[in-house]
Amino acid sequence: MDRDAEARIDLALVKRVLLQDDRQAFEQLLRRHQGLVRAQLRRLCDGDAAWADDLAQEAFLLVWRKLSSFRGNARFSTWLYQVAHNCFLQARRRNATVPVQVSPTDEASEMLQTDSGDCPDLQVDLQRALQCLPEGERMVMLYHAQMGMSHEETAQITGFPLGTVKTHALRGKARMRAWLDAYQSGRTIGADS
Amino acid sequence: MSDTPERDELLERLLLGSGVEPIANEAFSERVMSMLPARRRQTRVVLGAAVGGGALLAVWQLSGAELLHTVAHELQNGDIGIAGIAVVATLLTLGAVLTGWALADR
Repeated sequence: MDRDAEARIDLALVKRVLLQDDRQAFEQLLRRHQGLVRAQLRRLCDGDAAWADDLAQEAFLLVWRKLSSFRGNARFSTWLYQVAHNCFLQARRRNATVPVQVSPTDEASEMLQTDSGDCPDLQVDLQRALQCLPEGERMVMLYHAQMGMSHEETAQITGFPLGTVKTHALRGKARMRAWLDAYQSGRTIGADS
Repeated sequence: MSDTPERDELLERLLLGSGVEPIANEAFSERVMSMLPARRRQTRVVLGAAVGGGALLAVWQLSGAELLHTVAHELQNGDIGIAGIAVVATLLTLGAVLTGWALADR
């Protein structure tokens, strides 16, 4: 089913919740989207599943209360990811003990220049490299490159201006290209030696 | 390997397939549903407020007009004529317009 059809189904379910107070319709929305919202939050929470699920729960309860503020000028899923993203940002702000991703400029450079021959799993190394990107780039790469959102949708979710999203996407991809080159040349050297 | 379309294609493919996979429900939905608070009847409140507001607006608009006095006189006599129907139609129309505006703005 294409994304437009999915969006129409979501919109119909939202209307049922709003106009008929239909809990079953909300449960359908929840079941349709919980998987990706939780995956999104796990990425943002650096793999902390328990924290991510707490935030996902908080996000869906917020959606239940604030559903009337969804105006339908974007996809419901985009709005939902935005709510979840904001829950993550607020939780991180209010809880100073939550580990915050270190400003990763130096670490990212180091990671991107590191020979990844120690770990043969390309996907695992790719995830590590992504985690080391500067936060803005990491978020844009998550939504735009990994989840397949448009620049506009990514801007709505993250709250970044559209130009910033495009810049982060370009820089993030450039860093990942450099990382991939280093990874592949590292493997070649490893294979030769 | 540098600046090749193959490298870019590989990177795109790796990123799109890199682990943002939907997570299995495992009773998550049930847990959230059990925590949902009762929903406030916002729609009914909006409808009631809009219809009431429309009626008040109509009465205010007609307060200086002969029409309202005619209708009041007709009601006292228990005989609703064209003037009464016109006033009721005006009330309903204004109420409907306000309701539509209120719902569209939500």
